[in-house]
Amino acid sequence: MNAHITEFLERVRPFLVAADEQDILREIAGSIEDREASMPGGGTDENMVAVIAAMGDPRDVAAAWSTGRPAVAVNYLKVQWLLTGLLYAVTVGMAAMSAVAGGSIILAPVLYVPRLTPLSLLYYLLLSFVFDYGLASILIQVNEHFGNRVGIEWALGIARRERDRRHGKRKTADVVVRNLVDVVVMLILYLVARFGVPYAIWLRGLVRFFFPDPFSVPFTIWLLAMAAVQFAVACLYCARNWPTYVYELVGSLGGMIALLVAATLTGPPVQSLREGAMPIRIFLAVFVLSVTWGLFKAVTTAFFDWNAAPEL
Amino acid sequence: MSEVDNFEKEMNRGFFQLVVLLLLEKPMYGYMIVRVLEQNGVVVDENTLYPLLRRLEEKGALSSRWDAAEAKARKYYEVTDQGRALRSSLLEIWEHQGKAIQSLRREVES
Repeated sequence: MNAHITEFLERVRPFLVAADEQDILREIAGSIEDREASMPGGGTDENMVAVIAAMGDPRDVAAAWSTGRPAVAVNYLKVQWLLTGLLYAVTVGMAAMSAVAGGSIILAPVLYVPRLTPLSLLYYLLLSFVFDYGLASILIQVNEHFGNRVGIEWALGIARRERDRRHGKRKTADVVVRNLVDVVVMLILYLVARFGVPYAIWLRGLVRFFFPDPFSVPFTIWLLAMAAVQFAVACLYCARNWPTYVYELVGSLGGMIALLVAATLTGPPVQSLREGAMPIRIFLAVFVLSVTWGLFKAVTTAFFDWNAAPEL
Repeated sequence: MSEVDNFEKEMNRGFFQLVVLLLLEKPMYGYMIVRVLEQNGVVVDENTLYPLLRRLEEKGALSSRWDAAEAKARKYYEVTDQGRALRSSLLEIWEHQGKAIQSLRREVES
């Protein structure tokens, strides 16, 4: 199929009712091809672009071609779940940073992450999801009010790039092996942190600045918890034949929550951080942000796969 | 949009249903319907036609099938028995209204 048509259908698709989606997209594609063929000069790239331009705004096309509920309402639900997932990714990431750093975090004006305890963590994850769901609803309403679709297009752009990047990659046992290697590495890191670093500190005072004891041990425990959960998810992914986006979403979120739970249970090594281990604080912040970003991409990829283009 | 445009749009709603039911005695796909209607002086926008076809299909007045035998997969629509019954009723209404307008015009002119 022509790349212009595919691109146009991708822009129409999010605004369609799922039940009619495949039928409508096929008909739109056929209609564009027929109109292009009937133009003077036939099937040229210029004619194709002109025909697609004449179709109008993808959102209006979707609304005009749909017969069921208003397309915006259906799209609203999809976008709400996407936005909730993205906000939740940020919330969990912030909570992990809070737990690791041992303090509260405020991301003005909407997000406040308190210093978590094992008890407060129980309801924090649930309540923050409900909060993010409500916040997503408000943001969409504001977005709709001002007719700004840039944010959605941006998120979909990330999802498309992710899909293209992963194109051709197949699910294999490599995923399980890779995650198993992560678990083993974390175990080795734990052993080194538990027994090796104190010995190194005893030998060289400089090491204390970068790897203050007892910081290294809890830190590797958090990573170990995260890697273990991701390994378990990878095993389930292969055994249950899950879609890739489920693996990425559950693996990222599960890993992040495992890190958060472990960090909350073990408690932050505040004493060690106050001693001046700034490189480690920066490393931690970058690490948690990178995992949050991975989760963010997993959510957008899930959204893309969830609305996967039909076979045309 | 002028008042005439609004009025035409309202009138076309029933009119397009009728012409589609008349035309689809033999199977046709969307763009073919547009072309045949154009050749007979009926200009219909595709954004109007396709939803109309789907609505008539949902009501059971039309049936459809995808034909992938050609180079391009096309969805062919055809009128059903239920559609034929609907068409007869609409034609009766159409003819009755046409006669009523003629009669009124004659009365006013005389």
